[in-house]
Amino acid sequence: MKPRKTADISLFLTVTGLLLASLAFVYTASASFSVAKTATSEGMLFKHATKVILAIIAMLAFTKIDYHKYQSHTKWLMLLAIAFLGAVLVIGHTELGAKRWLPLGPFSFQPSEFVKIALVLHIASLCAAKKEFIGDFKRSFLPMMIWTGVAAVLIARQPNMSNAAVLMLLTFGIMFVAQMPIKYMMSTGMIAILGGGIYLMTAWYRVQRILAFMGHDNEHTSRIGYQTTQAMIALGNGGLFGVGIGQSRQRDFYLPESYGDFIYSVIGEEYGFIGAAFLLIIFAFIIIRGIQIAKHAPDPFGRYVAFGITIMLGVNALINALVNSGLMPVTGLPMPFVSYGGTSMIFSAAAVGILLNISKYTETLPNPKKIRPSLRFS
Amino acid sequence: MRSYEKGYSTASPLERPTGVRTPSSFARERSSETEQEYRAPGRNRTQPDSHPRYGPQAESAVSMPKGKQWHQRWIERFFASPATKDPMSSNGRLYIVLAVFLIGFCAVIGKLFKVQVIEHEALSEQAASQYQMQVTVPARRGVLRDRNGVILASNAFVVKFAFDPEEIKNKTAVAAAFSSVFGKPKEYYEGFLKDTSRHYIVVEREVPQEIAAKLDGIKERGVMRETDERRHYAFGTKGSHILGFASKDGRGLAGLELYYDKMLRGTDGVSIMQRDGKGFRRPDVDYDQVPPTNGDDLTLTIDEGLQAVTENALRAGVERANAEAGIAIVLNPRTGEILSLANMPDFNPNDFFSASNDMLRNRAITDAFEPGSTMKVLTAAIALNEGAWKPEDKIDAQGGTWVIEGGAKIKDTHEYGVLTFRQALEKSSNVCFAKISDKLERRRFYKYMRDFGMSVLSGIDLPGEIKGSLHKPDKWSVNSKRYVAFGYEMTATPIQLAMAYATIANFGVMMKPYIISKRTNIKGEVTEIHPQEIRRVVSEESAKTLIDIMRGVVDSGTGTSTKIKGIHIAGKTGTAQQYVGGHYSKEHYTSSFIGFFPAEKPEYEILVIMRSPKNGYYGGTVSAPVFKEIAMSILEQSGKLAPDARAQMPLASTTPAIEEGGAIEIEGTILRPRERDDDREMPDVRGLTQDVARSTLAAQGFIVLKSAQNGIVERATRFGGDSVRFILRAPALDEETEKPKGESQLVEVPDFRHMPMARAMKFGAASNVRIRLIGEGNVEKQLPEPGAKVDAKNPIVTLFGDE
Repeated sequence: MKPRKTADISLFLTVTGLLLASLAFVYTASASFSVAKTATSEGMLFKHATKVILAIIAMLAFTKIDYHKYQSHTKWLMLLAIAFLGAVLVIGHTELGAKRWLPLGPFSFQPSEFVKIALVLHIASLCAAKKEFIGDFKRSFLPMMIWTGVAAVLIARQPNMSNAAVLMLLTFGIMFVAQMPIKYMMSTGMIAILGGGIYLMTAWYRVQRILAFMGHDNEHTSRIGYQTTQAMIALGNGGLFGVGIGQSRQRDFYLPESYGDFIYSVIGEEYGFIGAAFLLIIFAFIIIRGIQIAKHAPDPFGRYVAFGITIMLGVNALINALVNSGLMPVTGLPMPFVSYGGTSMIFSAAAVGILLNISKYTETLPNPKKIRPSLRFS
Repeated sequence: MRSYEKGYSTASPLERPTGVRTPSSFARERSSETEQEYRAPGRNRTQPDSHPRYGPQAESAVSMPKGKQWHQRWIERFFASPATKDPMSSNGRLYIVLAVFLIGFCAVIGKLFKVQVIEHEALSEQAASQYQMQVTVPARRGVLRDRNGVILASNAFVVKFAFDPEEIKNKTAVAAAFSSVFGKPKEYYEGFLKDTSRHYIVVEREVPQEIAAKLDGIKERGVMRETDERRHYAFGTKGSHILGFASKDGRGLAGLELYYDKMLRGTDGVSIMQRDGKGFRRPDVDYDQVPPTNGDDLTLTIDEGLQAVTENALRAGVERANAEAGIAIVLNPRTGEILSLANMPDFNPNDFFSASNDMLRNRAITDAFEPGSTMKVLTAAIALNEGAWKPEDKIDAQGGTWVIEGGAKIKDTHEYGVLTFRQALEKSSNVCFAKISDKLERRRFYKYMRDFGMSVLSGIDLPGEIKGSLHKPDKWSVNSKRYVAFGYEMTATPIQLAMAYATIANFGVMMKPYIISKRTNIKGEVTEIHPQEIRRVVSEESAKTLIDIMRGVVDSGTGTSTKIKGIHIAGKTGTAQQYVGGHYSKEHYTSSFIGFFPAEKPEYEILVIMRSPKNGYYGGTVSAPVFKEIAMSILEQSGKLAPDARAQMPLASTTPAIEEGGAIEIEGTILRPRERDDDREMPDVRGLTQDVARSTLAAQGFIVLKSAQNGIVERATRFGGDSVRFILRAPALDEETEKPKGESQLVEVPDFRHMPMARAMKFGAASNVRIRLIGEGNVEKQLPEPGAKVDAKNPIVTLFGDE
């Protein structure tokens, strides 16, 4: 199949811009941790910069690959991802009490990021193949749930509950758009929430996080509540216009992982309400473009993949923003394209590459000028 | 699929659970062809109350054909797949998802607006308070030097090492380095390094700076060093009772350290420090500072070399006599400068905690006792000055026993007949001195005694001095004056006796004793302290006559064991029975020798007193050799000692020519001197821990009844004179956790638990709460509990470490 036109340039520029801006964000947010870990304040920045370059290359590469080629191979991709997840439980190395990283030569990567894309592609492929009998419980809903369930349980074993929940959300999202009867998803979701709730209670740290979020202050939760408090101080001290670029104080070990999951708080501190809100608008734009591409995709597979990738990015960004603004209990999800961290950023960029490739085949794409916000970055 | 649909359509529409239908209604609204098929006739959303279990048609639902149970039908219907719309042409669900995201983002923006715009000010304040902390920059405590500039007390830096294992990268190297410096096995440190659950593990304390410097190569952030100043006493026990000691936090607790505490302490400075989230200092930020004003340096009148001589001689003397305690003072009678002052037993001020009450007492100023025969010199001075007696006047010694009014007997050790005034002093006859006092008017006698400093504070610049006891003449019995004349019915401290003798040595003029001669402040300005004349007590002539008689004591009387070739010494022995258990003991004596030289123009006065010696008891046997040893050393130093003096008079064989009289036998009643001074001031020990408070008071001569309980002294009450009992505040601060009244003047107690102590301190400073630490390590418990309200004026939080 020949592409009809060039890829969505506005989406490409937005994501590239975010990736480049992340250099500034990560530099300031990691300065103190970097000194502690690598003895120079730029040590982590350089590592991040290499990953940014890799991410842009990955995005461009996946833009070139015709997305139709994936459709018949998604099962193998998914099996590979599940194999990785199994491997990480056996040989993965532990960081912060969880086995999430798989060593790969000089690199280490998080299979949970890979599995998200594999799952999006596979569920999209399944939904497309079964669109004629999508409402059939046994032939359509059940197989998809089994794929998702296996991956989610393996991730939950790491333990990484938030990513397991994200997998469920992705599957449900694609199913929802693929006209899957809502009764299946509602009932399965209810069972998952119940089961997940029981699982949550089995690990003390999770209970404490939840209690801390609900304002239960006891001696164990105070440390967790401390993280949210520090995020609020960062944002509040930033005010409307921020304390200025590079002026963050919360990065000096007040915020845990100020360069990672809590980078949004540092952005809010340095760039103020204006900057923090603007970043959300950027993400809203990316989501709108993704939905548009899904809407105009030429076939169901393209539609579901485009939609799945869009919600994958959107869910990550939204959950991270909710956590940083204290609207959700602390979870370990990074801000796509912005947080320091290799695997997530590279896979997110690759996913955008796939999205861009789909955009080449869209039937009609609305004039981006109508909705494109300013691409300036401060 | 078809069969499901069929079954679906044949079932009564009324039984369809509304809960399942409702969500898909959205899709149905965007109608298509399949939708029409899907919507069976009569299935109407406007009848939501037609549920089989609730609706009126429930009865008919049960009586359906095919005999299926309602739950079987329910399951069947659940798995029935409705016809779907074309996913490519219905975009409604896409927009729903988009809407969900946008609503989520709006919620975040709303929260951001609340936090960043509305609560900006409050959170900025919170931020500022956690970034900054007020740190006191301790002032350097003043240095104490001897009269020749030798440093006696100074400050040494000690370092405390603590680990934060999580922050240490090269654990083996750190363990190896510590092991090589401190000599403990590597595994000892590796054990600490394994424990990543804690962030502050103290591994080495009180490490001298030189040794700590060996570990400067370790640049790990997780190896924490806390430098502290510690008072260091260069000579250990030497001069311990003069110098006293200061607490770890630089509070003077005894001796000069207490007396001149304010001058030595200086004023602490304040600096605003920027800190990071782990409580570490941020290196790069400038801060305001009120610089500390260091304490003044003090120069003592003490001569370090002479102090050593005094202590060695006294220690040897105490051991030789097996005495309970010994006191020696060397002073310059011309000026009142104390040249050395020693007490046995003594203690090491570097380790004052382990010293017992007994060791801490500076008996030279805190112990008053009946002096005995040494008082005869004062009686003689009064008699000569009043002109009542001439040196050659004769007195009948009554053959050694004189029965006085009330049937009491005064006895001498020897059966003397008629003695001259001069001989009476040389041989120290009690009977004669009782008779000498008979010719003195009691009020004048009392006035002279007061002028000699009896029952008056000497004014020496050391804390805790007591003034002894001398009853007013209107309380005296008929015999009181006689007893006082040879040193009973009154008490005096060694320093009072020394100063009274110094008055004679200074030809009648009393000087004020002092220990600090010079004060140098931080700018180098010097304040000299000059000798201070108190009063003339007796005429120069009387004093000189008396000195002449006192020479006889050494030359041919009770003090012959102090005789040194080539120098004239004037002195007097004393042997007093102690009043123990209601009578004058035959086992407990106070043996003394006070003398000065050269007799022509006295420059040195030496007082030696032994308390309860068990090996001999005469002042001439027990104390005089110590006097002689010190005197010879002084003369040796100044080159005035004849080369063969030592060889001529070996110390071991010194025996007085005449054993002096000191014993009295009382068959009537004797007026007891007041045992204690109740009006002397007690140092304020409130707020100190029990151990420190006890050491402090013991150094002033107080007796502290120890309580097994631990805690902080809330109140110290005196009972029975010098006994002190503490009322301790148990670490539980109950009154602080009580419901407070005025909310505005209260501060909330932050949560310190699980913090390393050092960080808790800093955190406390940042939150305007005063911290009291008990134990070390991480905070395990805190009182009051977090969130409790405490008075803002006195916001004390006690933290208990887990070590």
